[in-house]
Amino acid sequence: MSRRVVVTGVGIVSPLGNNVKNTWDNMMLGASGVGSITLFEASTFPTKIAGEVKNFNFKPWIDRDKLLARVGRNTQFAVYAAGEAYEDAGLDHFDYDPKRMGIYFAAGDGGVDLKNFIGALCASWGNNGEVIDKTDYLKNGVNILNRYAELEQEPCMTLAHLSRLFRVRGPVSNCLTACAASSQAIGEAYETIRRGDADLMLTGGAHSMIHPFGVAGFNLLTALTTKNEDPKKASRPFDFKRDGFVLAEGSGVLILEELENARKRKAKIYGEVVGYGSTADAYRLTDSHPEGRGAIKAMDLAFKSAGIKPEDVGYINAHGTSTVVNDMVETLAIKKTFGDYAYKVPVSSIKSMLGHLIAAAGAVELITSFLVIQKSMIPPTINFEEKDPDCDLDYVPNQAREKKVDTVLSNSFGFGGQNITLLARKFE
Amino acid sequence: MRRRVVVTGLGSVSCLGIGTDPLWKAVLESRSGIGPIQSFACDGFPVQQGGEIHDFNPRDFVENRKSLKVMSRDIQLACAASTLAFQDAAIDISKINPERAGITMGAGLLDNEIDEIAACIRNSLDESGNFQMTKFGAEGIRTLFPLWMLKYLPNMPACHISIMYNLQGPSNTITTACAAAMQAVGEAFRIIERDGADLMVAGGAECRMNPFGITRYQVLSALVNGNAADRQAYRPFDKRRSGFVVGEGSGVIILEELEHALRRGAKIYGEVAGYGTSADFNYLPENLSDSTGRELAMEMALRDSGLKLDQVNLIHAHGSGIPKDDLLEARSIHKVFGSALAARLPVVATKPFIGHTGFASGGLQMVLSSKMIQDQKVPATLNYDEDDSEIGLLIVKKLNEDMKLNAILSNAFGLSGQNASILMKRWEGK
Repeated sequence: MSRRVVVTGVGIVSPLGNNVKNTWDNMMLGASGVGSITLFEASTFPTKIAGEVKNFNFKPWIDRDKLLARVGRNTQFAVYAAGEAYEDAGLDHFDYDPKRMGIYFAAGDGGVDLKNFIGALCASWGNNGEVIDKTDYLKNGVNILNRYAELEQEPCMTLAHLSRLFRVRGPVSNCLTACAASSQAIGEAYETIRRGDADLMLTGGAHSMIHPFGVAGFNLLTALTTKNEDPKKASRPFDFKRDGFVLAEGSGVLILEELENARKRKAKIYGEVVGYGSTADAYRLTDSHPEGRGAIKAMDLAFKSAGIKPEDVGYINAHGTSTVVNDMVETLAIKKTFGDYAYKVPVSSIKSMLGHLIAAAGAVELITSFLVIQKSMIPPTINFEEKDPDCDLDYVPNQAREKKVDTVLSNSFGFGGQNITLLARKFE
Repeated sequence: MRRRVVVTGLGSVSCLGIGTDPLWKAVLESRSGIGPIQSFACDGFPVQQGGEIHDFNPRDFVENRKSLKVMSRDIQLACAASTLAFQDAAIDISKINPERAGITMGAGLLDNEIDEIAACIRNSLDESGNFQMTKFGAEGIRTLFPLWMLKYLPNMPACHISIMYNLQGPSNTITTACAAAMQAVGEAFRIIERDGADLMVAGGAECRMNPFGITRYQVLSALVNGNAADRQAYRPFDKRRSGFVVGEGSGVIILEELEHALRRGAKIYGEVAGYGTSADFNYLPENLSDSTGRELAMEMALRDSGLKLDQVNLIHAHGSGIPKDDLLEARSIHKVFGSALAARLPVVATKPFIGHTGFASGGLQMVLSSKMIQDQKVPATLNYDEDDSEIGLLIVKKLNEDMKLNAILSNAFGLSGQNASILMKRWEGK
């Protein structure tokens, strides 16, 4: 018989709060976590706004473990959110076998060590001052670059810290599939437990691309909104006036657990992960398939693996980035998958409030999906003001809504064509 | 019943050539591709040798000029290796169900081109030559071309390949440093096993053969030290080992569900029979102290395969050449196999042929394991001439053509503490 997988702990660091409760409460108020960029001087960038994590105090963790002193924002958020999830699951008081616990994470990069990187480059202009002298750079790089800062940029380092801090010896991996990454990580963590390779998995994602190269890169791709004058209104998924996403940062972490293991230790159960679908568009680097081919197939696979029908879904947590194409194609894909029922099921995008946490987005969205099941409340899509004829579903505009929900479908689509669907279900 | 997974295609690009034939030929001749770095002058740098690819023309593999423009060298190498793997597997893509074909690639931070990023920084300097963020935002950014970011996103190797070969099944990118490609192969194996696909492309690609890449490795104290002109400096498990020499390349294999492979009459290199993965609590070369994680990965792969310890004929070691890394690998082999068995279990390290290719290394290693088990030949561990009593392993010093290879255990251990082991069995028909 197939092993069942439940969620027994959750943790969030987000632009709307540095724990699950504050983030949820603010979502219920329809608040926005978006504001002017303060992490660097962005006044001349095309986009000057982002969803930054605020009032974040990582010092207690550094006091506890000095190896955390040089980590990137990605790892800081991951450790902090994992601490909340670990405690929430009661693992700090539970003597588990580290060999039976694994991690499947989606950590982004740690961010460039800008001062030293530019210092090493600027010490290496050749004679004409135009082009870098590579031989000089080798010498200056070795002298100027900080080894810990260089190491912590690598996207494998978050995993290294998490396994040490939370005593994990079992299967570990980190995937980085753009905006689909943490949903994919959760799906693979779910498969790891189902197969019997672990009883406990710490999973989710952490990312911050709110750094000069991140904003520059997305600006060049014209993927970001430039509605700088009114930050809280800038992220507007499914609204007619949407014009790009808002970059945000943070982390979402879940503890997945094999059902019998959770029962035996009388763990609190948020709900059950029942379905996972993973596909690729195989279409274009920058555009999703115009008919949502991969997205439809991902939802279809998730339903097949769960053995349930679209009509069983009470709420769809959309990818809903606030880009013109994504929201249109996702709407199309939902209509193809759900038929007439698409108009009866509420669909909302919490990116309207949080912005886009990139690799961490899917994890925060799945946690939200489980909270919807627990609390019978659906978070709104804020800034939904003007209808787009291509987006004609019930997007739960502007106000949280009370509704009893047993099953939630959560979509995540990554830049480059990865599509992930997860199904969350009430545990009975 | 458990679905079985076999290797039906090999693709590789390395300093020993474009394709697996030149690589394998050199390996059988015990010839390394490591030589003086030529693509940039590295006078004064402590390491001046590398496994550099000199004869690679990406246009031979990517027809679309527009696509080529958004590919860093890592991505180009990955596309080339995948193309070679599909050719080797003799797969007609139009006859494969695209929804049942996927990809898992190992990757990580892809290095910028130094001239490209330097031009951007240069346009962000004020009159006194100091970097100004306001200037970067207003002028520096515009120096970069619109799709600049796409060249360096870690998931792009997998995305390009999925588009080139219409792979509509799962697409994943694993970023666990030196374990990445081996884990990518392991996860692809799992996906086929659980009926998530019938065919998976798996491997990795890396190019850190550039000023940013080798500087970072040196800052991390991972590279060999000694005579910068020494071509034989890369010597895993040897008493005088001191680190690694950087290589570049890509290794990709095609995995197929057994019946799928048999139905189309595919050539079968071997069977992937077991996968294990685990975590260590340590990172950085000097902090390595514990072999538990490495043991767990090997034990899990063995258990998964159902083979007994004495049925393993060869260990294809990670053998990074980093002093403590090799020591811990040796210690873990002793622990897993027991001293008596470990003393007569041959161990080979192949990185001295092509340099350490980081994210790609597990892919190239699996290409070589596949060739070993198909040809029943074990290459030499190059540059190994002095035993280290602390290692105490039976290192294969010369090409061995008389060994019976029914099962090879391949290891890849990431410096950041991720471990992966894969057990491959000989294919002797059903």
